[in-house]
Amino acid sequence: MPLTLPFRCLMRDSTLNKKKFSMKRRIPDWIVGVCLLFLFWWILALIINQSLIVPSPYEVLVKIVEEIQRGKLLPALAMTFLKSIEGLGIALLIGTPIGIIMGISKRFEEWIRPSTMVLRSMPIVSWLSSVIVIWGMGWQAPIFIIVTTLLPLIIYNIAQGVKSIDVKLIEMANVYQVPNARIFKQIYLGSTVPFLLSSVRVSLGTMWKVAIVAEFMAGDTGLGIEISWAKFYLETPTVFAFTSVAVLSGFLLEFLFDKFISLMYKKGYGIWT
Amino acid sequence: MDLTIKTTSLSKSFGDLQVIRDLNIDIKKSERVAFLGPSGCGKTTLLRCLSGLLTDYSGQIQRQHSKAGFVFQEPRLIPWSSLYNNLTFVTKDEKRIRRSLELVELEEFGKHHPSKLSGGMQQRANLARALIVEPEIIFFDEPFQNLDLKSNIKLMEAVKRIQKQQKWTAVLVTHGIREAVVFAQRIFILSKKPTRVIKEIDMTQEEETDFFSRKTAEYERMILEYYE
Repeated sequence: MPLTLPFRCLMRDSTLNKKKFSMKRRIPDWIVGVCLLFLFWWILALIINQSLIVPSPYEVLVKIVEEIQRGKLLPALAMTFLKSIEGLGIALLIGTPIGIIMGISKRFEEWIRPSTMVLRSMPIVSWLSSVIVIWGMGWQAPIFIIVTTLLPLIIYNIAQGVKSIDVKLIEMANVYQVPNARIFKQIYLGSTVPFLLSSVRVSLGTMWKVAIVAEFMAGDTGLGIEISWAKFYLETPTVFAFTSVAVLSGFLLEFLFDKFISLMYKKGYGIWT
Repeated sequence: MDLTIKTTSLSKSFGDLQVIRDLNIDIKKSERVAFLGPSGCGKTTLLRCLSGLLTDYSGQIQRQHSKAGFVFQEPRLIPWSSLYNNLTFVTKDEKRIRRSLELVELEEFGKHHPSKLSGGMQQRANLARALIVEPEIIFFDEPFQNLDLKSNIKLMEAVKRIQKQQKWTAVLVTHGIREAVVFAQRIFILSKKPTRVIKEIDMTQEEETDFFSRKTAEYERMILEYYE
């Protein structure tokens, strides 16, 4: 029996409902999360009602625009970014060979372990008096503190990568009498790449925070020092403005790195393909 | 008669556990030999002794070959390198690499990473790697074990075809009776641990068998009787 007109209408309606439903579902959960965050912040600012304690998101946004127009925010961001990347670069340069040797030699691992454990547990403030005496307030102290913070993390990750090398691959290489330099390049370095990338991924978040704290206490430029000055003059909206930019930049950096990694996945470079 | 391997009273133990006991075997040049035995009888240990990967055995092994290839149970390809780079890892001779890839019919897959290849293709790549050293002998450590029947047949055909062309000696260890029958011209049936040869079957006078021939089934039945 053919469907009567009202039934057909019903069918059309239900399709429409489905479409509406799927449009609702298309809003990504992370956007809902961000909206909730701003809502909580707004409510808190409304309840406290004192911008000296918690400024509203609107005030902070206005402050960000003002600071950009004054030409303070972007140079400060660039300086913090430069110091962070330099710190990460130095930590990778020192940490990668140490990590590789640590992964290969148990004895070397035992020699190095106490130093890395001390580095890992040492609070940032404990370095401050020494670095200020050596370099004064400047760019060196934040870079030094970033390096010392990231170094143990990178060393342990790389060592773990080397330890996870498939011994069967090494045996295969020995069967075919492959030269040691080629074994090192293809197998050892190849296996450490995913661990190196994961340590950079973890380092990105840590280095940003550490850089700002170090600048706050011993720097002369960057977001940290701007936050320090704003705090000194009790300009809480400015503190929030610089902090928000720092947090957003951290997210952006991690997001870009993840994009880079997924591009590498697609190109087929790596064990994870 | 040209021999490529001759063992005299070969024995091997790991601590108190004797794995191989008093083994006397001759392997001729250019022949295909299979060592057939139940799982865990010490076949791989025997292959490692014969190939020189294990050296702390008692008895004697005389080897008359200088260049050997090894086809492992698992492909042992470097996962983050393309198939082509897996072969350049062993030799930089591009001509030999291209020739090996052609022989195993993987010439179009040089740029592919191992994860993009099927299990059968990975095992053929494993074979290609053994071929680029221009071997006089190739040791096969259960290379057919993890493959489906179709891939098994294709790999077996490739091995036999290339072996007949290039005339290297092929030594296979396996627990698959059918694979041994199809592959080998001579089969050594091994006992449980400590392993020794319980029967030698010479099939050099027989015509070629395949996975589905009646002859293969008959041999299979016969060999099963020797399994303890």
